[in-house]
Order: sequence, then structure tokens, then C-alpha cells
Amino acid sequence: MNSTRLNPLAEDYLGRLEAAARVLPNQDREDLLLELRGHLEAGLAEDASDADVRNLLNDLGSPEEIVAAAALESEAGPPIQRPREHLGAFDESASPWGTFEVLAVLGLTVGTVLIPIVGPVLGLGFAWASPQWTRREKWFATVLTFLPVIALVLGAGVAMNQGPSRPVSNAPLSHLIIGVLS
Amino acid sequence: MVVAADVLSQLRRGALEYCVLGLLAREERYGFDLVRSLGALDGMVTGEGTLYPLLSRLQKDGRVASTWRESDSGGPPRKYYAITSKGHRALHDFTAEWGRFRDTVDTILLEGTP
Repeated sequence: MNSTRLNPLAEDYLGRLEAAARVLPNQDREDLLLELRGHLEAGLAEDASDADVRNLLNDLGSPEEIVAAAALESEAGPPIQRPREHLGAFDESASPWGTFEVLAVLGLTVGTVLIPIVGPVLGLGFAWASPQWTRREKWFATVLTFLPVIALVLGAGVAMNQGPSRPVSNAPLSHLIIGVLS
Repeated sequence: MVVAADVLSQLRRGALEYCVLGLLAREERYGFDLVRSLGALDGMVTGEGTLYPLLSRLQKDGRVASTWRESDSGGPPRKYYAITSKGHRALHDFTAEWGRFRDTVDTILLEGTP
């Protein structure tokens, strides 16, 4: 914006704020520094005494206090809900989404599109490695994965008599279904 | 007294953003002016500087919008804050809920008080 030199006490305060604000995301840090410089510029007359400066700084609170508030705001949305740690613990004990399960669904969905054949095969591998899905669910996933292939083979005979077949497999769709079902 | 202070600080934290929206609902304000007004309210803000991160979040949430404008006095440009329609809705909802909440608490706390 501009770099009017403020009273040394105020500049010193902004320096401390800048140092404390290193933990914040870049954009948040710049906004915060700009706002507080603006605050001091607006609040201090050119001939402000050190006592005036101290009063204004005192009302602002310490740089560390401000940065702590900013860190809370930028990570957690509304200030009252801060369940991060609890969520983590909950994920590991009760959620059906462990590493294997996530990799399985990724392989069977995105993987199918990005690396045909390899993606779904890896996905199935992860699905069978899952400690949380039942054997029945794993068979279901496997059959669903190969369903388009089976359907294509069965349909091939019919299609051959009826002109060009649709070359696009609907595999990704069936994999999405697996994801939802599981 | 320690417990009461802790509870009050939680209540304050929750209500503060609606006080910001309430002030902005009357008229747009530039940051310094808004922050000083809130700081002057009894027991509402402990460190005025912590209001800037709050304003920043309200802006990210789309409840407040800001514009830089030249100041009348020829000083550096100022950042003006205004409430958005989303902010108006949030304020409206909170105002209704707050009234019910306050009445419920009062009913119990003031029971038996002449």
C-alpha cells in the first residue's frame, strides 16, 4: 500500500506481528499486516506521543494474541467447533475408510479412467487387502468390476449381427456403485 | 469467578461476529472505525486486533464485503466493510435464535427474583 514510517514503538509492534505471523498462510499474513498498519496509521496523529501509541497498542492486544486468533480463524471456520483431533481418532477406529479402502475405490474409479486395466486390477488388490470390508463385499466388488467385460463378451455375439457396437465400457459407473454400496 | 469468566469468553466469541454484522447492518464502516466501536463496548472485545482475523473470515464466508477507498482527509486509502445479503440473512436468523435463547436462560436464572 504505502510505507509511511510510524512511531518507532508502532513499527516495532508491526515487526513483532510480522515475525509471529510466519505460521499463517501467505495471503492471511499479508492481509493481517496491511490491516494493522492501516489501523495504526488511522489511529495515530503525526505528533502522537509515546503514551498515545502505547494506549492504542494496548487496546489492540499483543501480536501473539492476534496471530493466535488468526490461526484459529483460518483453520477452523466458526470459532466454537474445533473437533480436528477427535475426527482423526474417530476415523481410525470406526470409519470404514482406511488406507486400503480409499486406494481400492480410487483404483476402481479414477484408476480405471487414467490407467485402464492396471488401475482396476490394483484397485481390486487393495479391496481384497482391506481389513474392514467383508469377503462378500469383496466378491461383489470383483464381480461388478468384471461385469462390463462379461457383458461385452456375451453381447459381442449379438452385436456382431447388428452393426458397430458401442466401444465405450461403462466400467467407471459400476465402480462408482461399488463405492456407494461399500 | 474463573468459571464464569471462561463461560463468558465462550459466549462472547460466539456472539461477537453477529455484533460485527449488526453494526455493519446500520452502515458500512472502515476497519479502524469498526474495530474501535466494538472495542468501546463494555466487555465485548479483549484485544481489538483480534477483530481483523474475524473480519477476514466473515469476508471469506461471503457475509461481509470490502472495498478500498480514498479517505476524506487525504490520508492513505481505507478498507471499508459492508454487510452482504448473506450476512443479512445470517444476522436475521441469529437475532431470532438469540432472543429465544436469552429468554430461556432468563426464565431459569431470574426465577424467584422479584
